[in-house]
Amino acid sequence: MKRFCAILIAAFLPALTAADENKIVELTVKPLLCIVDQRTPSCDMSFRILWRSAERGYYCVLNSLDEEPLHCWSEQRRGEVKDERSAREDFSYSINQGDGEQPIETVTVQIVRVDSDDRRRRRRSRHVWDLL
Amino acid sequence: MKAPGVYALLVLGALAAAQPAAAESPWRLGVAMGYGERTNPLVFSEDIPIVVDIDVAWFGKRFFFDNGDLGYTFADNSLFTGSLVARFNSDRVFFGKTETRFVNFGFDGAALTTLELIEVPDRDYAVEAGFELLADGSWGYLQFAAHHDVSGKHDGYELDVNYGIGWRSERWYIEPSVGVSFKSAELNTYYWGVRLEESNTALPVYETGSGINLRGRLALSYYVSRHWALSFAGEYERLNSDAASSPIVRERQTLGYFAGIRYRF
Repeated sequence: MKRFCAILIAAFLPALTAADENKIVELTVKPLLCIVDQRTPSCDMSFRILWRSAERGYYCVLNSLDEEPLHCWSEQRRGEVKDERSAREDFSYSINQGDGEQPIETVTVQIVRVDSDDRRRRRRSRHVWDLL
Repeated sequence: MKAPGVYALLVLGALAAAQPAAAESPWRLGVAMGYGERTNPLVFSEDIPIVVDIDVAWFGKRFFFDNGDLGYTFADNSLFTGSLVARFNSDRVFFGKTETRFVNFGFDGAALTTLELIEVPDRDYAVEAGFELLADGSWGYLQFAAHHDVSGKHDGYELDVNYGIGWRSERWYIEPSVGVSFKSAELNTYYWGVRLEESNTALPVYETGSGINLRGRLALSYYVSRHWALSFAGEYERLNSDAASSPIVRERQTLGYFAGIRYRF
């Protein structure tokens, strides 16, 4: 039981402590996970990107699927932007301080496919101990 | 599940993770930890606890291994996938959790003059071979299977049809399914009957005919990340009337449930 609790805590701790107070710039993306399947093979969602910085300045939010920044802010400490996106693979949002600058913070959105083109992966084996 | 099984899963998981990201790994490996149980319909038996559910499967172009089932796929097209499958019969698992007891009443409930020993008869795992057809679409998925004993244990056969459909909403995934199994008289008698040499005053000889089992299942998942999900599954199966009337059966239905956290490699 103790081992099970430890595994549970290890699994969820990263999500619970995602906001690191020591970071200069904090980037938050919602949602971080998109589920796709055969019937809906691409993730069509509206993503909300929020950032907050300890220092006022010039900041740009970028999407790894685009070359141009999604939005830039001048002399700001925080910002928010929405992004309508259609994606089939993982992608990321990052924030930097202008053209050519390295990302200060990056957040990856996971696209998770819950089924397969191989029908055999969905077969039900009739084993008593196999409930999932 | 014993520790060596978990270590083996970790090694296989590393192999699966080594596959190129774009290509689907032939492995399907997962482990779920939590709590659940399957009720045991046999008299003087214990329910079957399920604390760990390990999923080990490998799918090649033709051959596959799926948690103990071995298969060879002979057809795969837009309409269906057909495979030859060898498996162990799952009814045997109930007979591993039984007790022997002395009773002072008979099968009909009448008092006995002497104590009689009731021992749930031992049954072997039967190896069965057959074929299965899988089809799917926007309407859900359908599985038909026919298996016959090839190990000389019961010399019977089983026909099975299973239908399910899944829906998702953001991180939630729900999949109800229903199934029907026809069990031949030979199979039914082997597992649920009582032979002459096993009988006594309290446990009479019992032979069964063929019968149909019905079942329903509901699986629910909440995806936390690519690898982690919270999962719940519940299953109900109603034994055919001949099996349910056996003196070694106390409950007509078996219930199974499991709730826990699942990791997919």
